[in-house]
Amino acid sequence: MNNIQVILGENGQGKTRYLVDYFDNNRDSRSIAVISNALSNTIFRPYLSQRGKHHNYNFIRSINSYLTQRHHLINRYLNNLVPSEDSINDIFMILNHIGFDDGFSIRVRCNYHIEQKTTTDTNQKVYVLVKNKENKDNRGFQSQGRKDLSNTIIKDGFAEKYKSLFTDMGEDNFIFLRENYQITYQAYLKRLDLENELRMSIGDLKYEVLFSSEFFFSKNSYIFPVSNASSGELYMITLGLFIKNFLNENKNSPKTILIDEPENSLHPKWQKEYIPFLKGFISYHDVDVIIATHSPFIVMKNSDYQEQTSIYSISNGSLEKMDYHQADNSIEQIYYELFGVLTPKNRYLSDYCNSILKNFASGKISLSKANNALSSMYDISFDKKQKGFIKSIIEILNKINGGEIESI
Amino acid sequence: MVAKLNPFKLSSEDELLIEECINAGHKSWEDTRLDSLKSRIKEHFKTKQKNVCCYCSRNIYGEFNMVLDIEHILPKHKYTKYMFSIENLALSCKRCNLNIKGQKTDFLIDSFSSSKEPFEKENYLFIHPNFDVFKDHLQYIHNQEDDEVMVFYRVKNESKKGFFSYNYFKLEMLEINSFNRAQGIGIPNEQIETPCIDIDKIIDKAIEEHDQK
Repeated sequence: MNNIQVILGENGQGKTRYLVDYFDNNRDSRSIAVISNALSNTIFRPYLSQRGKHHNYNFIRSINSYLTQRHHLINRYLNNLVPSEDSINDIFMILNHIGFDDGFSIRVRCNYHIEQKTTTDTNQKVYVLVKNKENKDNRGFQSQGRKDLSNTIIKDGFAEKYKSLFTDMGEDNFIFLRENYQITYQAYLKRLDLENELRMSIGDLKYEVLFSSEFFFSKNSYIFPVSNASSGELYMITLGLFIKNFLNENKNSPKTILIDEPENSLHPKWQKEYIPFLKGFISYHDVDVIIATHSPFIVMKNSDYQEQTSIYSISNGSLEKMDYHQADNSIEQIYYELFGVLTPKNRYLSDYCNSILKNFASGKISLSKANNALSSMYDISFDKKQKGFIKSIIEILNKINGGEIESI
Repeated sequence: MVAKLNPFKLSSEDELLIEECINAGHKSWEDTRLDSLKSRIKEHFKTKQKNVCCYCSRNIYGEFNMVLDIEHILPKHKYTKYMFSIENLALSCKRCNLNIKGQKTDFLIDSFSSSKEPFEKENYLFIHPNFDVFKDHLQYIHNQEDDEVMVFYRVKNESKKGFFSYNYFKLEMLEINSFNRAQGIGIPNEQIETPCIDIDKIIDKAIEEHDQK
């Protein structure tokens, strides 16, 4: 089973350094994926430029920032994935995980159509490509700055053969439903084959010049383009697709995914769901995951997915397993037990003080133990009202110890 | 054995009125002719109970801002004949009386109905306001820091009645709420009541409708 290690702690304790060291020590023996904006932009940049020489590690660079670019990334991943039938099921799984409907569609837009022309010099009839007008929907989608293929002459015979690619409507839609996608899938593969043939026959053309494709998802039966998903949804889809890509490309080697500060620009709601999603994306694959974070939300208990997760603190570059009560990981408890911070107005502190008093009153713990626990909380509390509260709890402890106290 | 209470003197007029009201049923508790008797009963118990609620022991002073009302330990709708028995009366806060105890009788032992001594303290699972001594079963500890009063209850010598009262009257909630308030977490005061709703009357009406069916 895969194993998720979370390194939790404040900044400056060497969490990121640990990931970098892990990467340096293991990059020749393992396939490593690195997910982090901060990492790839700074420490890992030298490795990035060498990509291509080293095929056994992947980076996801723009997952955290460049929010506006993320849907292009997703479209690109999806375009890479869809031709493989396994990946289609992975996509369904990812959509299902983030609460989308069981289906997606691909809209292929034809950026050109074919017209018959008569050449002025030789008076011959030829077929040429003519650029379609951009409309409101596809503005900006037709790539700017790309070579204009207008008036490219298509060889004899090709026009008939590839006419089906250039639909009258100017677009072609493929709807993949989880229960029944085979026919669509075959039709889409056929189209891709034809597109490839055409592209090869008319020369050195990059993908998306003749045609551009966009993915559509749906949620509660409302259909929308990838670019309209929320930033948290886009993040999770990107993460899922990236991991699927990574797993598919490195089937036979031992694998590790390094994740640095996944909480960056992620809403707490998604932070809490992060590890469950991750587990879902990885599913049965054998992968080690190391996450460095300073967000308690990431390690908050939220479901049984948390079971295979271990939490570590770090000091002087070495990890130490943290011991914390699995039972009730409230945010205040995590702050106190793992960070030694008492947040003001802290319900966990009320419960905790109450249990200390009860344990002392019933003889389960000694006076000095109860007193030490309360005094150390008094020391780290920075809120005046909270300090007064803890002082008052210590008074009550003394009153319990005094035995018979007239309470009225 | 039923312990003796401090004497509470009834005049012959009181006794006549009491008899009339018991015959008229538990709703006659609201009869305005009883006002003077009720206020004398209240004064009697205020002194006896030292201005604390008979169930949670919190006092009427300071931030609790409590009002203590006459409480029928055996609910008057069911045990109407004890409606004026001084052994069956006490003062309690609205939280313990209306919000928690209400018309329930689940604090009585199973064989209560066959008991000849309705006020026998052994018949009561909780600390009886008149025949048990509260602090023999529960130690009420409180501490005040600035304006914030914090409360804590310690069960004495594994007392069964102490545990029962602690759970029955949800005293842990009072502890935790007082802790939270002391830290500045906004918890509404347990005593705040909605003045336009008379819960007693609503319950009475519901029971009446139920009995008619």
